[in-house]
Amino acid sequence: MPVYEQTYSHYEGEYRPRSLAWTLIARRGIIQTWRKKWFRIILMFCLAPFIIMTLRIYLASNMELLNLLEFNTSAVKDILNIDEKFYHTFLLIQSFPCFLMTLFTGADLIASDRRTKALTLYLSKPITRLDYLFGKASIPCFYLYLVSMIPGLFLMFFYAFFNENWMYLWENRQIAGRIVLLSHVYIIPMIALILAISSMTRSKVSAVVMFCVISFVPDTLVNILYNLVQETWINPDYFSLFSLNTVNRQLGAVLFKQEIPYDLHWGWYVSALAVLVALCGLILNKQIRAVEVVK
Amino acid sequence: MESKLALQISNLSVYLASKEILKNVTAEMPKGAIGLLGPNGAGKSTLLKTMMGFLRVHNGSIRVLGFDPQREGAEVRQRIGYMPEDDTYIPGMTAVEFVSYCGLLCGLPHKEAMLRAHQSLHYCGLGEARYRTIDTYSTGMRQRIKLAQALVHDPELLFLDEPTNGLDPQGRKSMLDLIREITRNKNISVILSSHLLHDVETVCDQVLVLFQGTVATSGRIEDLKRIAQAAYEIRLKGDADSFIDALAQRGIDCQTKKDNMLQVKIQEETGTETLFQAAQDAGVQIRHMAKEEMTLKEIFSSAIQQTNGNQNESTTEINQVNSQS
Repeated sequence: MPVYEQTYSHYEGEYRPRSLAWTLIARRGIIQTWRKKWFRIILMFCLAPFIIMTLRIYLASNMELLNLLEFNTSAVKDILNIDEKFYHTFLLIQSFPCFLMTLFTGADLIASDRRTKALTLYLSKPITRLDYLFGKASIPCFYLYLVSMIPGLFLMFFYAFFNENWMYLWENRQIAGRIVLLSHVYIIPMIALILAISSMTRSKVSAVVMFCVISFVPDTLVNILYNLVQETWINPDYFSLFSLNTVNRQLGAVLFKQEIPYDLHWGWYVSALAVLVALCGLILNKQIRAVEVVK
Repeated sequence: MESKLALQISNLSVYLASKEILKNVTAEMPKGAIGLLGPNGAGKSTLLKTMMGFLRVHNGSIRVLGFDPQREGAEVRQRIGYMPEDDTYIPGMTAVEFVSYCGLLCGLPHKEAMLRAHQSLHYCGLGEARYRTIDTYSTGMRQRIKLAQALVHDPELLFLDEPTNGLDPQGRKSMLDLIREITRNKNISVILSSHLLHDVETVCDQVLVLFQGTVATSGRIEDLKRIAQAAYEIRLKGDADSFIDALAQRGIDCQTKKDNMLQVKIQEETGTETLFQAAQDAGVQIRHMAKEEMTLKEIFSSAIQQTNGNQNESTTEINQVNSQS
């Protein structure tokens, strides 16, 4: 029977399990974001370092090509050294694309629902607040994986592929683990922060401004304070705990066994991230409610 | 376990921002078309939100279709459809995408959700506009799409919070016709929250009247009309004042209306003989007597007056106790 001839009838089929409800929110959000042309352009821009790094791996795997072109100097050899530092550098570069992705995919996620009062609508369905939150968090998470962890792991794959050395992946599985860990160090606090900010406002612009302020202002302040207290009894390294950027840099250096920028135990930095995520969780718990109580 | 009752509320108290909004509410309502009636601020929307498990119960208990919304919120929300009072939508979606998305969130499979979205939109009169984005919809259309999204997953019970808000008379009539059609022909129970007596009277057969967070009255509208004071329209031959005095001596209220008509209100059990007795004592003749049909407005007013009176009495008692102590 054609649709236009049908009228409302009772449903006699089965309902899907409720545990999958968050995937619907995630799926819809990912598709909606992908549909935006300007977003796809930004995503391409965010993946530009990945393309350059892939080229580096290709050249490192084809030294005879460089010999032929007479580019095989010691400086070039240094650049083309594919080791832990190479992957660490890639993830360090990707911290800015991660920031961009978080900003563009996350700022309006909850703010738009608050603006159009859609939160009541979502929560009047048989889903929990946690389902809603998981669904929403999965949207920036997907795109952040796409610019951090997935290209990082692909670089390892490409190295193995270009050198036809598949054992490389097994022998360097620790690097893969570090890529996964550092990506999550970037992703989890950023998502928690953007969702908390987005839940506190109805305006996308306000959310964008707040996220930029929280991301950049502490970084500048840390640098100023660090220099100010250099000659005093205060350990200036403690200030580095207040900037997400420095925390990420420090933990990245620890994970990839590189020179650490600040002389503090990594436990401090993990605790700082845990505190940030917990604070965001508290804000989200307060804000994501079907009923807004005006005191 | 299927409950025959749509609602079971016992001594329910709900606080919002440390203010008691619902005070000791007790009611039992069978399935059907239930009107939740009361002036603005009476606690209607709070009660609806408590029924969905959005608000914490401070005291007492509540069951919707046999489920406790506090502990089985998802079970309740699976069985109900909620049409909120506010202008609520998910931006950037066409009507059919929006309604099918709501169906998906309620657990319908993808294909079914899309099919039922089309059906619900047709049923709610939005068939022609279903591929337009909701952002471009008029107020009337948005009310209808809110109803369509509430219906899409085939709920047992619909919560309609002020469904005729912002509609012109024609839009209001068609919305009420649609709701009546749902209750009568689709076998879906409805709880219609409204401050408009006409809306409730048009659609509902039962009513729960709230006033300042308490139950003013509840039950079947027909029963309430019967239980309430019966009003008679009377035309006399003779001195009306002496008849009014004779009635007053019997504790019966009488008001003068247009064209020398009187309106007399008596309790159902009092009987009309008392009126004839009073007429005989006053030396007048009753030439015309007809029973007036009591409207929901009169039931509502009398319930509100009674509740208000009770509250004032209790306040006076408290004040007296306070002054004595």
